[in-house]
Amino acid sequence: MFPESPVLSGADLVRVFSGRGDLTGILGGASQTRAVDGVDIDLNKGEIVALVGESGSGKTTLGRLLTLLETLSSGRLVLDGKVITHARGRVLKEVRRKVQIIFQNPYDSLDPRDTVHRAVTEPLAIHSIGSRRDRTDRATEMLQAVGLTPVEQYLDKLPHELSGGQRQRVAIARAMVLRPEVLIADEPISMLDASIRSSVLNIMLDLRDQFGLSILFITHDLASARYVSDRVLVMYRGQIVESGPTDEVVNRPAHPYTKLLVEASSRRLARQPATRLSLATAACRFASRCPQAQDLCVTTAPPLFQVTGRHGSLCHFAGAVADSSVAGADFTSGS
Amino acid sequence: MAIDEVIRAKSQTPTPVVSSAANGWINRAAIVVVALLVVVAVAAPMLQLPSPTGFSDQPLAPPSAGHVMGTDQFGRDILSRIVWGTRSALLVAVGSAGISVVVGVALGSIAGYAGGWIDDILSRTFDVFLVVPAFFLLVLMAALFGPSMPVVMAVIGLTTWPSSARIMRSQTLTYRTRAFVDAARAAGGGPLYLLARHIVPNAIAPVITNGTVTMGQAILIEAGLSYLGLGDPSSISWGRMIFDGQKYLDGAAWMSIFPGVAMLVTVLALNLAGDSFIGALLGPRRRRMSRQR
Amino acid sequence: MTNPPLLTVDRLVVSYQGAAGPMRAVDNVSLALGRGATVGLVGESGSGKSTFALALMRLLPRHGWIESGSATLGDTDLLAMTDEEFRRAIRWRAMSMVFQSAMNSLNPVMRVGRLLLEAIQFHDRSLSRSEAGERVSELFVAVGLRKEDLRRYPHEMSGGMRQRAVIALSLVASPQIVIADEATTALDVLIQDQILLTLLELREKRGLSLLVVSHDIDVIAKVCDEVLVMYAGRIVEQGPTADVLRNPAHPYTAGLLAALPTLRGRKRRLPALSRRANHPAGDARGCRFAPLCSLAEDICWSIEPELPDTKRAARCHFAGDSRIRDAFADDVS
Repeated sequence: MFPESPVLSGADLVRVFSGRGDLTGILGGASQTRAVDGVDIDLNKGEIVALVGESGSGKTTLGRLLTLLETLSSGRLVLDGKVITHARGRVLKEVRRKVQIIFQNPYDSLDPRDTVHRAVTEPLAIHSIGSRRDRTDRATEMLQAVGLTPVEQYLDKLPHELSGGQRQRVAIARAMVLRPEVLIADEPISMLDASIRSSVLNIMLDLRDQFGLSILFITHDLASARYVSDRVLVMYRGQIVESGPTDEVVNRPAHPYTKLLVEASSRRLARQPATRLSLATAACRFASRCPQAQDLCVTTAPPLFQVTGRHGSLCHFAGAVADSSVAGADFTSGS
Repeated sequence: MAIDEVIRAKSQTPTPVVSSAANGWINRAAIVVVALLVVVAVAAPMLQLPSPTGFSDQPLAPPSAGHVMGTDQFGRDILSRIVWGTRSALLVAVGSAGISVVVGVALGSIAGYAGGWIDDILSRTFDVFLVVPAFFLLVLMAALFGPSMPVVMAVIGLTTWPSSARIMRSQTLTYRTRAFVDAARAAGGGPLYLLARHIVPNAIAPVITNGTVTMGQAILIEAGLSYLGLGDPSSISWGRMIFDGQKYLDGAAWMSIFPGVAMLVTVLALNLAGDSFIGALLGPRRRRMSRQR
Repeated sequence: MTNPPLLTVDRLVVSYQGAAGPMRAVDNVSLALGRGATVGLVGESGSGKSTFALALMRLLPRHGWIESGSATLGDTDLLAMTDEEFRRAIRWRAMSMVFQSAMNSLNPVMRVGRLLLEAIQFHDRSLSRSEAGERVSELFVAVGLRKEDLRRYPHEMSGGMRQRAVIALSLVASPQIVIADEATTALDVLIQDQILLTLLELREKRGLSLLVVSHDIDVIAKVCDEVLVMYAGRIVEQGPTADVLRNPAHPYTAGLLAALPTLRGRKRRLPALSRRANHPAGDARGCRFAPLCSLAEDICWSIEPELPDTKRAARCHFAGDSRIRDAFADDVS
């Protein structure tokens, strides 16, 4: 399906956060958090990949690493065949043009002092692209693409005059105005009203189709991940614990965590085992919350299990998990 | 409603629907006073007043129709001297606070944005300058370079900037993590661009408020210097006037009282007007940029 | 439910003083909450659902007030009470509220156990310290926390744990009703489900009645027997949750449900609820939803539909019309 090499790929990405060397750091001991811990990720042209995980799983940090907003502790990033891990100067500027990001909180992602016009043309001005008139034209075109029409009515508006949904559209237009190859969308709908969410999801699909854009769609909601994505990565405490084609992962989850997520993403309450604190330091990071945890999970870190060619799970019992049905739901034919 | 409200509350500076009582008539009165002072300072030559330096044959005359606030020991008109003194008072205020804000904003924003060792060095520098006693430094400088207006402004500015810098630093720390700053960074903006275009314009308001307080301080410090005879001798200064009147307090108290009141009103108005200035000058609503095509 | 409801709200109207004069945020909202019942109030930003909850708790901001309507708890007329009486007898003791933001407003320098202890002693001064301590431990276990956690500071707890502590706090004076306003919104799905389960358990064990206010239909579906759908300050649809979700009778409900991505069924392009037309008369005489409604006809623009006074009802001239479901997706269930 994707014969070319990926647009953006990361190998063994690690990001460690350490407590500062101030008083609390000294008293609490040198605390280190591996927010992202050895993640491999590929984004192909025109592909939407969903990154699903709970808060604190490291999904936002991973997205920021891919945009070079966050510095890698170790690992390797490649964009269009060029290593960009330590990009600076001109190379960095090129990365900035090709990789863009939109954020979760539409009330924070626009400068309160900038009009829509100024916000959307800003990236063009930074890269000295086109004349004033060209910039306005390109901004108008992109605002049209995200459905903020009639555009003339919005160009002079300030953020506080716009609704959350409208702001998010402006943020998307600004990210798209440089015609990037990759868009990192960090929970773009989680703060929007339900009735607006679908239109933002549809914009994602349309942008992909129209511009051949690759999108990393970061979310905590499996249902919206299923709606937009071709492939899904499930992240838990810094690691990708399951990955594969979206329909396959949703219909046949091969990691106990994904399975719980699937069960909770319905209109029924998911019954979960109580957290077993005795297993907090187990080799498998999910063991303390896992209904299936065994002695093996405590002693040995789980290897990657290939359920099918493109569907993998980081669980000792992936095969058994995949074969057992999801509780409380019958998922008949996927696509 | 809730989710939206919470988000709004968290990420926006609140804009009160109805301005609170505290922000009401007192502040408005203060702004009017400050505006009047500026007008008076600018219009001083145009006012139909006796010359502030012209001697007359009526020394130590009490307030009368001819001299509303009386005259001093050389027969100079007090009202006229107070009016002309507004110029030096405001000049010192604006000059000192300007230096303080410019230096403070520059160093504070760099410290806050850069972090790490740059922040450590700069922050320690703020601390050192914060404990330098302005007044004694002034006395020293006046003795070294001779008393002049630029020296006075420079010294006041250079001893008050650390408070501006500290405020700017902490403001920058909160703004640099805002999503709109990240968005501009992801679009290719470098550190100086981000500071100049997004962080400083949004974060500067409390520094300016602090600056108006500095203005009041500057006027008081300048008066103190003049009182000690270390002010610029070529300028008309309220502090100098109070000093001159000291000897005649018994029979001609107006010589000191009127400049004293002028100073009190000015400093008070500057302090009270601070907050409202910001709302009027820098609120996003007023800053709708006209779009050039 | 043959016995009379515990809480009855009848045609409550709440207004805010806006820049352009008073605005009705809650417009003739009625609701009955039975003993041990779980009723959901669902709506989006600006629907008035939170204002309604705040009005019930007498926690409206200064520029908001109850204009008309009635609210009775058992035999007590809540609106006839003075603020002082309400504070003494009702708030916390009969009705308490759990907010979304509450988990971030726990006093950071106080151990949660101490916080709870003080709250309990504040409400019942006759308790000795050890009795109060026992009540605290009991409550803590009831909301699914461990006794060891009593010694923790808020920043040492996860969001889910803090929200549990807040629920414990809302129970210190043994209220009959708990209003949960977006109580699980900031939490992850799995944690959310655990907390919702805890709330349901508390309902079973203590006979609590729950009013769940949320923008999230899934949350309502998971715990509520009945649901009220709010739009622009009004109830537009009400009924047993399962039936409302399966057979929405109001175009707004139908549109909202159709716009939600799901894990089941085949993928289809999700419809969006967007403005289709402007009010021809330029005023708001007709149905509030008409500008967004694909089925709006002349009557919708001129006459505002009534909400029938029945358990299962929709405020729509074409309520229950088969076109309402057809207008949106085919496989909403």
